[in-house]
Amino acid sequence: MSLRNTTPFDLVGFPVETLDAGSSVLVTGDDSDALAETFAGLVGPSPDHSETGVVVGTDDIDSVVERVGRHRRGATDRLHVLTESSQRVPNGPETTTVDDTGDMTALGMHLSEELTDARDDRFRTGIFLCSDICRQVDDIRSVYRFLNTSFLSNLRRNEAIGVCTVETDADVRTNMDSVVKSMASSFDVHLSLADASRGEFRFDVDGWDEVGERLTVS
Amino acid sequence: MRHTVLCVDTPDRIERLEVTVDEREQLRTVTATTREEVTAALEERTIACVVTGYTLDSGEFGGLAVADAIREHSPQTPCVLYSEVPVGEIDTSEFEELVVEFLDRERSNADETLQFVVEDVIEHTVTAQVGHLTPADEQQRLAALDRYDVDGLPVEESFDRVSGLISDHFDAAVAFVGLVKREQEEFLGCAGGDLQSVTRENSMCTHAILQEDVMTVEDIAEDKRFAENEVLHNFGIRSYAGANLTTPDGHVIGSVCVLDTEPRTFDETERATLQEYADTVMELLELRRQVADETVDSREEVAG
Repeated sequence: MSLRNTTPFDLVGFPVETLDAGSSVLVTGDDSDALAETFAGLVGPSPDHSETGVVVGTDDIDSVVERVGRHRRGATDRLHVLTESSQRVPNGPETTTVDDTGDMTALGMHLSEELTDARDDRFRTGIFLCSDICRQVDDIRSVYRFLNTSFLSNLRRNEAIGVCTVETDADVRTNMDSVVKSMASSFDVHLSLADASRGEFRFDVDGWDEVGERLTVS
Repeated sequence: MRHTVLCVDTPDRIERLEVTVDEREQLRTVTATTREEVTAALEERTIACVVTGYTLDSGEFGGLAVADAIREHSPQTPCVLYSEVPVGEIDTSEFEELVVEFLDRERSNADETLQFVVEDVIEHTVTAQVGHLTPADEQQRLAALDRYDVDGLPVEESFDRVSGLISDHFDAAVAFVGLVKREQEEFLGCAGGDLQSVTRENSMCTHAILQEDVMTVEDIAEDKRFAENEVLHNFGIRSYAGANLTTPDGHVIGSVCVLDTEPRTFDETERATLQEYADTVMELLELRRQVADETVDSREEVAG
């Protein structure tokens, strides 16, 4: 059993080369391309470091998988996707169907099971898009509980990094700004999309000293 | 300090589970193989964690019975489901939000993983299964809150009066001064209601303290953070505004709030006014803390 290891995770498509093990990253913005590109750059497992990727996917997960494959050759072979049965990930990674990604208890159990299997390796995990999950549930507290119980706990216990994405213009029947602030308070790093144009995505950064206050992902 | 873990399983497997958990120095176990034993253990002892199988013996004693008992007697106690039943076959509606962790007991190293997870869950009980998120500076924030040693400061009457002034000013049903502690919110003063402490999961202020500005909720029934919150429903709350109590060194320890029984908005001027009330309350707390500190210093000088 291991807790945080000091060996950082390498990154592709970012101006910095690595992210510390144990880090949790919240990516927020109103441009789905920006979220997908950034998410893919962070969660794509590195075959060189015996890494596994486990992601919870809602809408557009196939787009993310395609981007992961583009970032790193062979990365999708080491990726495992938890998604609703209605979702199809063509030519993609191993997939577990979850009846309802809005059932936070079931989703948490599935994620725990997959991450337990991944414990022998380093792993990267992520949720794309958490705002879709927020839209599906009746009570946002169940999402917070899921993040505490299943997501952030597993980053604490393992040699791992985790990424959670929130589309800020999603209608989640609550104050999105407050939800983002709440989530940001529990994540180590917050990337907040400031501008997206011509395939370049500029983020305001909080909590990532090596990067500073601004980050451009392309 | 050793923590007590309640192990629940069938009679033929309970000893193995008990031995596994007992191997860790920090853990001691109590066991249960019936619904009555589960209930008795939760009533009689402080249980730090429950480890339970999913399929138990009789038709009436399965995971549901454990979940029911925990919900009734010790809802904050984390629970680990340790089962050979595949996740897809588990009826999650039985457990609602209780299960902290699922572990497949058939996998290799399952016992070792269980020990590790139980210790981790206990160590992080405060955040292990709660339905709220905590500020990044939570430990420092709680340390700052401790410095105000509010239990030792006779503030209730003062803050009841302040709450009354705030309630009158906003023509609101309820106003209060609340401190957000590790596991619950407690009220220093209140006007318009008899508020008892509430868990952070059920507290609106636990959301407010994560915002830099005044948090307002026009209609709780239309907000997914609060629409399913029975505590708020039972109290008849429909709208909320909360301004942070921020210590001089920047930690938010609680909120000054107004509640109403009808949906309402709070304009910019009202928000600013509420923040001024909060700042005034914070000054009162700070002054009292300084007086208390100086009193202690004086006593020590005399004694020295």
